[in-house]
Amino acid sequence: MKRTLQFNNTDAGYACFENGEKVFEISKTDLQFDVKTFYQAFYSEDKDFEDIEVENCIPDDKNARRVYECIVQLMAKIKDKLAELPDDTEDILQEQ
Amino acid sequence: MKVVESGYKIDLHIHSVYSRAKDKGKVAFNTIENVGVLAEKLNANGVQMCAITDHDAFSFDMYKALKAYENDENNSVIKVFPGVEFSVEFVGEKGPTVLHVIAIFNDDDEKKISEIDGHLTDSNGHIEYDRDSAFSEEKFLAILRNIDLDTVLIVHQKSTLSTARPYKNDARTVGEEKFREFVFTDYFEAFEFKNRKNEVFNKNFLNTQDMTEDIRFITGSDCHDWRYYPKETEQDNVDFVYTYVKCLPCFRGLVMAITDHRRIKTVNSFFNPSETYTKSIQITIDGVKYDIPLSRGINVIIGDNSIGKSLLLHKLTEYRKQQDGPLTKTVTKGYDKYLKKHSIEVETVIPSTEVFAFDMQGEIRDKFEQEKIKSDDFLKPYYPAAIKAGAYKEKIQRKLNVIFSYLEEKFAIELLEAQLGRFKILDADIDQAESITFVGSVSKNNRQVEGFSNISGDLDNVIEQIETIMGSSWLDPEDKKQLAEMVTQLRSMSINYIRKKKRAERENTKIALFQNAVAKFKQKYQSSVSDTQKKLSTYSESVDSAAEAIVNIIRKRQSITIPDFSIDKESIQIQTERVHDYEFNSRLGITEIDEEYIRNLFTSELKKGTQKSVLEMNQEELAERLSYFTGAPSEALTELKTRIQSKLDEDLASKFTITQAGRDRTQELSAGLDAQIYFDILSYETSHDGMYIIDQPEDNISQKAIRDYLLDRFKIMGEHRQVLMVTHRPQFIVNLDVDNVIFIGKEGDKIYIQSGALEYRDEEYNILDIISDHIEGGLDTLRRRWKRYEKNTSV
Repeated sequence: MKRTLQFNNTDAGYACFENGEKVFEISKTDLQFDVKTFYQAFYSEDKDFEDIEVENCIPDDKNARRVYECIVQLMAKIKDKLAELPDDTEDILQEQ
Repeated sequence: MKVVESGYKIDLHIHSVYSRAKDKGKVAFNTIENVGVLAEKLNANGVQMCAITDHDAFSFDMYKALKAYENDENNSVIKVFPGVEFSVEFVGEKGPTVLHVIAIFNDDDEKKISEIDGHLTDSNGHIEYDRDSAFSEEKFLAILRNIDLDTVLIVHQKSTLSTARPYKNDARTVGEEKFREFVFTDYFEAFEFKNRKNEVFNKNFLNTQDMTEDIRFITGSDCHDWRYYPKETEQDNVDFVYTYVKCLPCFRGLVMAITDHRRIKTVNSFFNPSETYTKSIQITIDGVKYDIPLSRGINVIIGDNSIGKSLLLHKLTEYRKQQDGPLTKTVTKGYDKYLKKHSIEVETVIPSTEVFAFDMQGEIRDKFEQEKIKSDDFLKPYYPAAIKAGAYKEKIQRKLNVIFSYLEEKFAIELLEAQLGRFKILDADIDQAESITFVGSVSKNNRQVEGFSNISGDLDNVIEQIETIMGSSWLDPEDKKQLAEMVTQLRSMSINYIRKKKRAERENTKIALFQNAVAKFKQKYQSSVSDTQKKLSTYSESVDSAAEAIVNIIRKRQSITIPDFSIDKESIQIQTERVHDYEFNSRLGITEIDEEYIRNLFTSELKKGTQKSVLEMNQEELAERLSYFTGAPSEALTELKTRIQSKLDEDLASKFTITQAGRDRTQELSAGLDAQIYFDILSYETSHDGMYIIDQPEDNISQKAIRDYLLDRFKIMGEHRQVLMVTHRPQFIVNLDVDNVIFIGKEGDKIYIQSGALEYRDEEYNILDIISDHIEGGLDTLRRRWKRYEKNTSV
């Protein structure tokens, strides 16, 4: 099922909201991307990550754009990599 | 003669002409002139101890005439006792009843014997009855007191005790209450019968009334005409059976025998005639030679502590216990020093072939407590073969491996999650540079190598096991052929996985070389680009490696399945061999494999009250919940594995137990009961020849068990084989009615030895006095044993 999130400003940074609830935030002060928090927000346990769309609600904010693009870029890379066959599967195919 | 060598044939009920007041002409032939006829008949029948017991009369001359045959080497008779058959009126609930009571007197005091007649008759030679033709009970007891000789009383029975209507003058005619009084006060030492067929009825009566220990039966011919001995008269056609008693041929011996039903038999089978036995022990002490005769039955060695009793057992067996381990060199050195100090030389050696078993002090308890029972030479053959735990272990191990692999993988993912890290997002727009950015990575797959290696290793193990089975001579040739084919297939599979492993290793080598080359190139390249370029490059690499790491975690998570504890339920049968009243079991520590067992393997290692399943725990939680664990969280799973493995090894270890037949075979018995079982089985064992040597059996078993149980077991053992025992317990000597007592004493610094049957005495010593003087509680036990002989003047 498609998940749609909104990328928006918060008091201290930029965040992704899902159904109005903040699921992932990056501080404006240091712009540090916490991969673990990102993973827990979108990919951990039984979360549905097949089809995620993030809408940029603050397109005119230059700093925000860089953060937004980082998130989207990472999501896209993950999606692409998951679409590739895993290393073990390739080995198995080679054996056959 | 110091020890009992055989049973003696007795007849304590023979009449002479002095019974004529009651028997008239029936006894007319039995005059003093015809005593030779009786002696001849006794000899022809092999009678060894006898008594003429006339009705309320005693002839000293007649007694002496028969006694003259005692020392005749051509005659079987070795002991003649003085005796009288009293007619005594007892008053029971059925009114006054006359019983015939045979009194046998001690033959030691000839003067008193010569006066017996005087206590029975008045000055005119008439019998002083105070009832019609009988004595009242009071008068009877007064006569016995006046005679003043140790006495044995035997009540005559025409019919059996089991009969519904007792015969006139039989003990039960006085009424049931009085009869029970006779029995429980030991009024009579024995009940006499004559007819062989009554033996079975009498024994049955004892069993049904639970009186085996309370009533002793002996037989007497009641012969009234010596010409037809052992018949009562010419017309008598009763099938008479003689009684044998196990004792020294003396009055004391008779008393000892007649007060213990195990010493009385109608066949001479007190000892095992085919048993090899040690006839004597030769010892020289300070120049004095001792030739100590041993009985075929039970021999006990007594004496003060540290006098050398255990030493004697070990020296007789040439310190062989040293080879088995329990006897230490230090102890034997001490023994040798003691022997030298007291100039003791033990000349007799009992070879190992003549010893059935030798249990040192406390050794039986050790055998059971230290689980040496399977290695014990005596018990070993009774156990079924050990249960092979391999298949059960493999099944459980497979399940455990799945759970452990899951936990390892889960914890590895959790670690990867924790290591996901951070990177800085670009804070300014950087134009896309024309430089190289290093993105993506390749990593070695060591788990693949390990997986292939494990498979080939496991296959090799299976091959080894199949080859072991193929080595068995019991395997059918057809099955052997099939197994050989399996081995070929498995070997081919194993080779295949070895190839895969090698390929994976080669791939890892290539990856390592590639990683190395890229790293070197990266390092070189970084030094020649601008800071801005570096920033962009680092950022791109960070995004890429974050994606890579997350994908790796996702893939790993997708590939693992949460296991459960379920396993096919399987019972592990206990193999049992029934031996007498016991079951010798070969078993494993557990009797069933099921889900509960697997679950418990884990929960038993966690702290009490832990609700969460181990499968849901992370590494930190496991470390926190694992009982008595203080290590780092990363070591918790390894610790859990080690503990479970150890528990599994324990649960699947072969165990050997003894249980009582029909009882729960998983309920093991206490060490005390174990020792009882040991003695029980030992007592029934007849297939192995030889002496049983035991040092202080009382150390292995409770006082109560000795009384209730053990004495009986040793009595049975003494009938099968020779026993040599060291003991300090008077019960083992007096109540066991041992056949020979060997006393090691010390006077000043000089060691000496005295020995003989319980009833033995000579000018120098008296065995009963030795027991009473040297065994703690011996006197009390002797008194208890002799309480019934208030009729006797001395012990």
